[in-house]
Amino acid sequence: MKSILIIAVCSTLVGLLLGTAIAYYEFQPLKKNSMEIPSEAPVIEPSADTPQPKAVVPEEIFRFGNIEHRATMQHDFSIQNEGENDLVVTFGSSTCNCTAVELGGKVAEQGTSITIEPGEEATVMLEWTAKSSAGPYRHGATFVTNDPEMPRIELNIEGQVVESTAIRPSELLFGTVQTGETKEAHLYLLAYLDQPVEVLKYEVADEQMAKQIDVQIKTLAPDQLPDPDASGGVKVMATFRAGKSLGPFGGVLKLETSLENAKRLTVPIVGQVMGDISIYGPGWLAQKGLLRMGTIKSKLGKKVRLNVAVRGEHAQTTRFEVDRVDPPELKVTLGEPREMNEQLLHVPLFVEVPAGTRSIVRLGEPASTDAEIVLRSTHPDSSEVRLRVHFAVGQ
Amino acid sequence: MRFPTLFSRRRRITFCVVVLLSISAVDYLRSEPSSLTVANKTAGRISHSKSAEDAVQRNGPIFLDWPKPEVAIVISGELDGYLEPCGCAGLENQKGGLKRRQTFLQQLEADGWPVVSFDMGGLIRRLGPQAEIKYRYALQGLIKLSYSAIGLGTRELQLDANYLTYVLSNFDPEINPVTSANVSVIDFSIGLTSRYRIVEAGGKKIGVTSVLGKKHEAQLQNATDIHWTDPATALAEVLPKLKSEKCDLLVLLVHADPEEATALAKQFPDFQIVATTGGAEEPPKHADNIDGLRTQLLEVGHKGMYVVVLGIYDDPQQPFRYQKVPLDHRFEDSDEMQSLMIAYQDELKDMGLDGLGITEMKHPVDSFVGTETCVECHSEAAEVFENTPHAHATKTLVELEPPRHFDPECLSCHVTGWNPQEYFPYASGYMGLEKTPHLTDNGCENCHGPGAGHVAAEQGDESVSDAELELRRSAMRVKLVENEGNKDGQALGDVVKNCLKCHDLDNSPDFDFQEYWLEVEHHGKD
Repeated sequence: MKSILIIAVCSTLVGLLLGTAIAYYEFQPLKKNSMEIPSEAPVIEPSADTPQPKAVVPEEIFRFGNIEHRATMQHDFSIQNEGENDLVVTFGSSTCNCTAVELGGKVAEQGTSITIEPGEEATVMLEWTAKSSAGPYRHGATFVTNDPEMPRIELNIEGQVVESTAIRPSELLFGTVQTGETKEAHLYLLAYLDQPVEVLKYEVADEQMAKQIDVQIKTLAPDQLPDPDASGGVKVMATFRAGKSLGPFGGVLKLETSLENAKRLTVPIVGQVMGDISIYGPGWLAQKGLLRMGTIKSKLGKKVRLNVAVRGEHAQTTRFEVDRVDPPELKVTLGEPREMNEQLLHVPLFVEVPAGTRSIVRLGEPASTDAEIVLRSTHPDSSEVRLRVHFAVGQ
Repeated sequence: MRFPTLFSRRRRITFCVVVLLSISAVDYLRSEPSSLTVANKTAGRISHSKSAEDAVQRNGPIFLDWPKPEVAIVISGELDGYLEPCGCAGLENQKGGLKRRQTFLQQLEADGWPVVSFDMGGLIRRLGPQAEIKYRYALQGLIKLSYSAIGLGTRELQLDANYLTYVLSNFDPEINPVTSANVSVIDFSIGLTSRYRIVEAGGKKIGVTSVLGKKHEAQLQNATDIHWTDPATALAEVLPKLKSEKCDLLVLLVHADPEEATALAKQFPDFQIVATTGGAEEPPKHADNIDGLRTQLLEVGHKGMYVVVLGIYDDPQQPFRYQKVPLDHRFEDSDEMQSLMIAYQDELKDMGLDGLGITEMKHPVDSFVGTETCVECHSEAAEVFENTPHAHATKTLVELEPPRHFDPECLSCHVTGWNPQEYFPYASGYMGLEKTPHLTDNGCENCHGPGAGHVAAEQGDESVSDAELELRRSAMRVKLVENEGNKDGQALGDVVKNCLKCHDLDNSPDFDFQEYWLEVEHHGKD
């Protein structure tokens, strides 16, 4: 028994040593950049006897500064071989197809290589067309080499795309507007190339929206421009009159201008009309007063949490209770009210189709009728809140 | 090989078995590569595709020469609504998406790296009901990814105030990571957001806060329930509280631009790490110290294509290591985020186009009739069309997993009669597979313009003069200018401009009109 134990211990030790040796041979610790050397680039393992190429890149980033939208810029980078063997440089990839690459004076496709002899250098040209919108840019190209010390070279160009005109902010944002109230929003149309800015014509595209919005245009004096870099601009001011219709509203303001590069502009109009009591949550369509719960698998059921928000002077005192639910299979409960501030109360409202509910179709006209939830409210202006519900339960 | 005779046959067998088992065990243990090694070679732990290796070759390996850090800080921002790359140009050509991001983070954790993740906000780039839904899913996604702090961008603050409050109030405060030193939603005391957070990982205590820069103040006009204060004023209030927590590291997330972030970093040098939005689309290769400071300034790029990782080390010579991580297809899609995307698409389906605030706008010229009507006379052109991807553009969406044909952002370029860039249908444009089956796919009228008037005149439904008939025919013709194309040196005419509304840099980066035109070239009536 004792000898078997000794044999087991000895054989384990022998096994461990052999295993370690084999594993080390197969999976040597990562050498610097060992995994980034692609198959295309011939790799010369460093050794004392083999002369090596040595890539030297004096400049990896070039900053173009400001360039205009759609302008094209180019820059030459240098790659030098200070080694003792041929340096093979292969174009790997560029960050964007808007970047053109020339390697050694020839247009480079992915996989194109050049060989730089010891002591020589080659030029890499990067050309970039500013197709992106205004803002900073950074693009570049990656090359792989057979220099074991620098198997990957990344060259980058950076700068700022500037546009001759800008709209700030880019929409007429009204935010939330109480029913029956008016609210103002504005934006600036700015020019940066010394051209005069004039709005020749404007129109709110949607007929209904046009009835609710007044637009005024004001030419700005230099000291009124919101951006010191702008050479001229106008302020577009709009006033929205909310009707009784609740929910999001939107449209487009079309502008015709004197600007050469922006003769026609469209500006989205965005906002939301709400009353003192409003409802929010997944599936809720405020403008239709409708909760869409979709088709529900009976075995899974579905539960939705909504928020009933009460704003205004009655926020703190308003309370709700569930009055009626049709069909009764819908389980509706109210959560604990939370006073967000003196003018805002949130009441969670849970609507559930419990698992195991029979097949029901309440998807509204024409196939069926709406389901309905009625909440009784203590709000002096709204004694009840009705929610239409569309859902279907299937097996 | 002979064994010494003192070993019996049974002992020799025992010896061999134990040796072999030991070799196998050591070999197996040693050969199990780290997840990061796998990430440099393949798409994940399981698949070993050639294309994934191409991703490494194209976008570079990651974490070479990195020892395990004390803690790895992962920073992202400006997701811009890109919950996932759209795939139009082939997912292997596109970076980003929460599915890949989760796999990446899981790989870090699988390697035993203590990880802390922060996001600078800017989760959406549009407004309206779909953007509201998207913000909720983006936030849910980042919470599932264990983000410890998430800043607020302008767009999320421009959402309907009640909706934003709804979203934030439905997260358990214990897991709600939304953080801003200078923007409160209703009021800081309500607890919908935190002014700063303290995170512990890898034995380090990290304090983090976030600000929305001055540059964005003007964009918050009319934002109900949102209170913005000057970032410097807010940081002067928050910093003493962070310092009193005796953190090992202070991190500032600036939703502004590098210039403003740099100025804040100089004003508040206690923050060792300052991350900023508003930089270029691609993060830089290296992280730089801000002039005169030891503060690291980090950019993360746009659209969630990258995250950047800062490794923290107890090494005075090299306390930080930086890596930009391209979220390419070396990282597999995670199942959990895929489920989230399915839920997102299901909710878009339940809401319907009307529920998403999609309203028809009158087309300035005419009404759409659908490709089938065009085919009745233009059969040769139809034959060409049938053999192009345009002819099954809607089917492509329907067959995706999950299907995307309820998503207006996808529909706008995959059906007939929509404005591709503004994501709305024209009156008489596509409104659903059942409602308008004749307007599926990227049909003739998307390039030629709506044809109702032309068809009515040709079919005699409307009596018009010969001149008017010809005028309507002429209006349907599109004519290329000489050397028309979208590449340098080519003429950017109206035809190409129309193509570029869908074949844009995001969705069709390889688009070369002169090359693509050969696939769809057709001329007039039979």
